[in-house]
Amino acid sequence: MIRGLWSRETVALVLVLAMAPLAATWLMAMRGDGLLRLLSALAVVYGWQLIFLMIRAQPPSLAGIVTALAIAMLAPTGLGPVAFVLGASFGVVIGELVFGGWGRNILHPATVAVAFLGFGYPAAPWPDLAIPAAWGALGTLVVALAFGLYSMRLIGGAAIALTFAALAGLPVLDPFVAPAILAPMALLVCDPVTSASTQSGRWGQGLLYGGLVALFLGAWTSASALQVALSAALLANLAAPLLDELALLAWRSRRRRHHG
Amino acid sequence: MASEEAIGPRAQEGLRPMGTGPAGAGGSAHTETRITAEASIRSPFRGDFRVELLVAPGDVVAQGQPVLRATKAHAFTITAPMPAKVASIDMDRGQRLKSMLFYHEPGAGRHVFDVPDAMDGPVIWRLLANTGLWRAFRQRPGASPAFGDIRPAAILVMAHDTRPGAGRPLDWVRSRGAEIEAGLEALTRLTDGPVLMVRPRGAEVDQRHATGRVTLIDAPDVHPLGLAGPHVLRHAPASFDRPVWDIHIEAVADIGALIRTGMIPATKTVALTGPGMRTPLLQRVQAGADVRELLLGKVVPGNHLVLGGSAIDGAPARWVRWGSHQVTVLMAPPPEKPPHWLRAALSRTARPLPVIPTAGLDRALGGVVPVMPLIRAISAGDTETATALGALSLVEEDLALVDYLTGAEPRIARQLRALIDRAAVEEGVA
Repeated sequence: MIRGLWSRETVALVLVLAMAPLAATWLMAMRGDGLLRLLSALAVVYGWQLIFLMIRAQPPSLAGIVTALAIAMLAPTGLGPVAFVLGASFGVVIGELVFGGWGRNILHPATVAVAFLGFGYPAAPWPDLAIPAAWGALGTLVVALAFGLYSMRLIGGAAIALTFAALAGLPVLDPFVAPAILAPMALLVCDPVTSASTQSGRWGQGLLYGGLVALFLGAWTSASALQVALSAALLANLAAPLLDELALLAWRSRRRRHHG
Repeated sequence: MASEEAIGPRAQEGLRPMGTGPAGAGGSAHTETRITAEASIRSPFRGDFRVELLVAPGDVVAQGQPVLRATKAHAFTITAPMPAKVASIDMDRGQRLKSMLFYHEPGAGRHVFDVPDAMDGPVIWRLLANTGLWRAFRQRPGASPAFGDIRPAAILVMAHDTRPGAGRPLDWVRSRGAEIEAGLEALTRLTDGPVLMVRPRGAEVDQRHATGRVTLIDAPDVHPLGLAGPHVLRHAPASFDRPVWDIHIEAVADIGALIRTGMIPATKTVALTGPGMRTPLLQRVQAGADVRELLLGKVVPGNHLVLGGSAIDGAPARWVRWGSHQVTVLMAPPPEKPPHWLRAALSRTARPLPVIPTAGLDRALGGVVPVMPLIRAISAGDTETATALGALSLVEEDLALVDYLTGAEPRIARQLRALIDRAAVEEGVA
């Protein structure tokens, strides 16, 4: 009869609050430009949410703030306003709203938007994230972990893979590379809705993200650090349902061995 | 000597939902016996339960005397909860039982059953059917009382309860070792599979010389590991071909008492808890006792919401349900203003509400099953996947914590019920 607090919008609110360290460090570094990008992204995200509210009676979500922050931080720079609005709209509508809104989406809308802009405008330069963003991302990961929104296994898997990458001599701790790895992780990879939902799947997704970052850092030398991390985030995100399915297959086969 | 088994580390996960004041409801020192002036029995099934009456309104019946029997299987009876006069019988035209009301008649005595000497499984089951104690067994899949000629694949004895505000069942049967022994002995003859007893970790169970077929499961004091569901899932998954029963430890002692004395114990222990109580307390009451009378003078001033069960899985109740050992009194929320039309429209069109995975949700079934895939399969009505993930081993109360954590609408527990009903139709067992 009594109900707990963790409805969709409570989770979204806590997620937004957890983003505060990352948003603050990024805005301090970017100042006016960053604020403009963030406000533009917010306008696009909530514009579409309003349209879907009126047309399909789909309630808006505070998680749109996280989407807007991710698009503003990670999308290529030097795009005109039309391209930016087009890319953000594609991500928000095709990545989230057509599925019924936040909580029912398969891919993170910001991942879809950034991938769309990255593939659609390959000449546009990727933004450089300052080292304070790495600390901000770490703060976000810690807060979201403390509130049980992010998975320790996913973060642990990524940490293990990246540690091996560092031991192998790859520049994961470089001041220009570390924030580019950590920010997409805090914004996209660990998203509770679109990341793997089984324990083994989360280990797998974390390892996959870290492993792909290491692979791309070693083999894709022409790409910027953020491009490397975003590509890894996109592939890890796409692989999440497969990893879950494999985890469930393993679970069922263990049960069959036990109980026949 | 009974074998012992501690559940593995993965299955030790759970939560401690906000309690509603059970501190005083753990021990047995303050347990008083209270027989209310009125008591009611209701149909043990959600749906069709056609009966033949053995008494008429105005008849005086002894405690434990059969008052009606099932039309489908005459051996299955329901007995009077107390020495009483039959006040009223509410049935529809198809002879389906709705309720039967009794007025207490202290002089009407207790009914004594003939207990056969030779006690093999079918004989014991027939005895339990004749005495109404068949209702003590809850069958999975489906959460209905065990009914008809069935041999379960396993039986779980619940000597643990971790629902918020629940008492400690082992304390209630501390002095009934001989009856528990006799009851467990009877249980082992009802199944060819294991009899599993779930007890709080480290607690002692006075089962004396209970047979080696009883396996003890030590469960930590976190919810939902005091419910049968996670243990059924882990140790003896249920299916329509292999039903699994669970039973409360006090009911096991009642079966033992029946076998030893021929009489059904007149009372059971109920924890009265919740923020609406002046002090949480334990009482021994008859089955179907009048909740209003039990609470008279014991609640704080104000409007109350009285639930049979705990604060997270209870339902409004006027009588103490058969098999229920808890009554929770909540303060009734003030009447809400109707929401704005847009908000009301949005809340109706967005059903079912999305469920977002959190660390709490991962532990909401004790870590024995991947929770999110199971919830998604139940919400999507994917019977095949939900069955593969163990949905048939669960009942509504097992998912109450999931509903509490997520505020899901419609409740996942209700969706599970619909899914199991659909699976039963598909399997041809409905």
